Amino acid sequence: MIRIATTAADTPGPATSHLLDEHPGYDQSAPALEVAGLSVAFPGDRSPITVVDDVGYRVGAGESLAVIGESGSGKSITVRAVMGILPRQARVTAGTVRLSGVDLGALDDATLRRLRGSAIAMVFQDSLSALNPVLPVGYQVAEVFRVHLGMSRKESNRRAIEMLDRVRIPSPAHRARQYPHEFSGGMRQRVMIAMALSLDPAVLIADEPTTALDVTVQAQIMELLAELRSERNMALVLISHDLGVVADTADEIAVMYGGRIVERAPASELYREPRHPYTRALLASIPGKHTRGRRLRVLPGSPPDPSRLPPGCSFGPRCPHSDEVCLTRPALQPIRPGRLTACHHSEEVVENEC
Amino acid sequence: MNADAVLQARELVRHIPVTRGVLFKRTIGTIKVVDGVDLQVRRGETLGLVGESGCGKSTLANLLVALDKPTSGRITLLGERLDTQRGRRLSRARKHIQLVFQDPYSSLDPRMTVGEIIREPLVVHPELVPKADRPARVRELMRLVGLNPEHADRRPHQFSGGQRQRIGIARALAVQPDVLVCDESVSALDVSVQGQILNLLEDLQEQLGIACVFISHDLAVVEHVADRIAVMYLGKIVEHGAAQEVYDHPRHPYTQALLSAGPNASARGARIKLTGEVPSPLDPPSGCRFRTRCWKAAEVCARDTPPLRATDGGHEVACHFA
Repeated sequence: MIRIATTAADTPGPATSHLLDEHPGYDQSAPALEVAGLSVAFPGDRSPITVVDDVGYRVGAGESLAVIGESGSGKSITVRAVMGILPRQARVTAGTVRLSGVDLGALDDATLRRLRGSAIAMVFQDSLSALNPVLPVGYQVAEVFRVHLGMSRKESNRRAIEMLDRVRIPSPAHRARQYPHEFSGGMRQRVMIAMALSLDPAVLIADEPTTALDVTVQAQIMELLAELRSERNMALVLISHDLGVVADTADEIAVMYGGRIVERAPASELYREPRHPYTRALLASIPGKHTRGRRLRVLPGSPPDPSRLPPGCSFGPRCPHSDEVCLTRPALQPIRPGRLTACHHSEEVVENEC
Repeated sequence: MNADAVLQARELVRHIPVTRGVLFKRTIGTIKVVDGVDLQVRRGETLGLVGESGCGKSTLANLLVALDKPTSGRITLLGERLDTQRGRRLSRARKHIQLVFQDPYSSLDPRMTVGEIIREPLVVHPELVPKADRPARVRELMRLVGLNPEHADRRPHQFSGGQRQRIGIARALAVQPDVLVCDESVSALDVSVQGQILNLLEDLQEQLGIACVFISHDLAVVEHVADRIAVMYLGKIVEHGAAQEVYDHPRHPYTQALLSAGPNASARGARIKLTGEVPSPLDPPSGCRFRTRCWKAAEVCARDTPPLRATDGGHEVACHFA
């Protein structure tokens, strides 16, 4: 997952400092990850298509944030911009990404490459295509140590086995010699997590880490992530389309729609009292026991195409509350400490419900 | 056989031989993908089939619609054997049972227009609708599934995932089947769109009286749609009964674990953690197949395979301790 060709740091052992403190702006008390006003655009036929629009969030060490959204909401592009691995055509048009106060935009490519993996790491959704099928799994995990820390083959292999053990893979020494196809989906996802964690990053981004997995395995992986987070005091960013999956793991939830964050709230409050009509609709459309024999309350239409976003509030056309006011874009505003929502009607939304 | 059962499977088995070697093939084992499954679906009812990947749900779906031949066992559709039919008789039988696929992207031919896609089953079964009436029938089907009939000349890439799934459903309904097999039909869709398709399927079932086999790994979705539910593990049905009954009082340890791992879990009480993953179907555990991950497992579980038997709760469970 990490392909790097720069010279490695001399320090053996885990990069406890995350290499961040040597850069300008470093502040130990700053949040581990802070994204502010981030916008990303793709070139379009006539004008650039903005797929991420003024997105901001912060995650402290040991905290976790879940970013929820449907396809095309911009949730994955946001974290790719944070990692600096956007598709070639995409451009960051505005905004900053700071790791413990260090502005990543001000650093050169070589420095960024060194930080990727050691300060901020990512777990991808599709573990089968993220791993190289012709190399043993242990070799691929060890690569991180060889490239970043300049370890010998033998030493790096030993560390790789340690990492496999840390993500609770049984008989790690034996498994390290096997190839990706010999692993089940859940085990492969563990390997991905082992790779991402090998340099002890301060921030871990997991992009739909359990989407391709079975329900019982899903629970195992989410639990592993939660455990490792508290063990290593990491900041964890979870990307998911499923509100149910992140319920137990996330401290805070940000809901994205049409490239913008439409609601941000502590997890427990969001489920109990969603304030944005979209969040409400999402929660209401989850089928289950309470919906037996009833029709699901669903939204009309489908998520908007980023190249043809409706004017004003992009949720307007599907929203039961929308009126003329919604033709102007609502700002993401605090409605109470710790809670933000981008809706002109957030007050009525709650009142009309009961 | 039950009079109102439209679809019935008896002791259905599908074993796939595993071979090694190119010139000199030898069989080194068999994967028991489906291993002795009994099920029946009554008119207008929905049977939910849940299980994790690799448990054989999709193979079972293929067997039910005669895309695959069972190694042994019987499938009866509308009182006639389906699995022994061949050629023209098989083709005729197939119009009574249709499949809605999981992936709305790869299950539609990108070079055909939507009108052609929906009309194709009528070309295969020309006796159903006279040629002159087919365009009208296609428009009617498109309206039925909530598509604009004016879009019949468009091609699949011009539609969103949810709309494509509607096209797939319209195609399945074209031949007026008695049974619809939905294999993970809403799994690839966004949450807000998934609900629309579930509502559509329910409406159609009510209007047309179609029976439905609804296969999914998503317990919440199945709980919403199914009248009865069957839980599958490594090729066998381990629990079967009225949906409400199974969800409220699961008896098999696997069902209990599945339900406790689902998203609505917190409402259902303590979470049961399963260790490990589903064992390889190439070499399933002896006796009860779930015993390697089961916290109740005892000696008897390794020795005897528990049969699916009725319990006082009114549903069937295959566990020595239920």
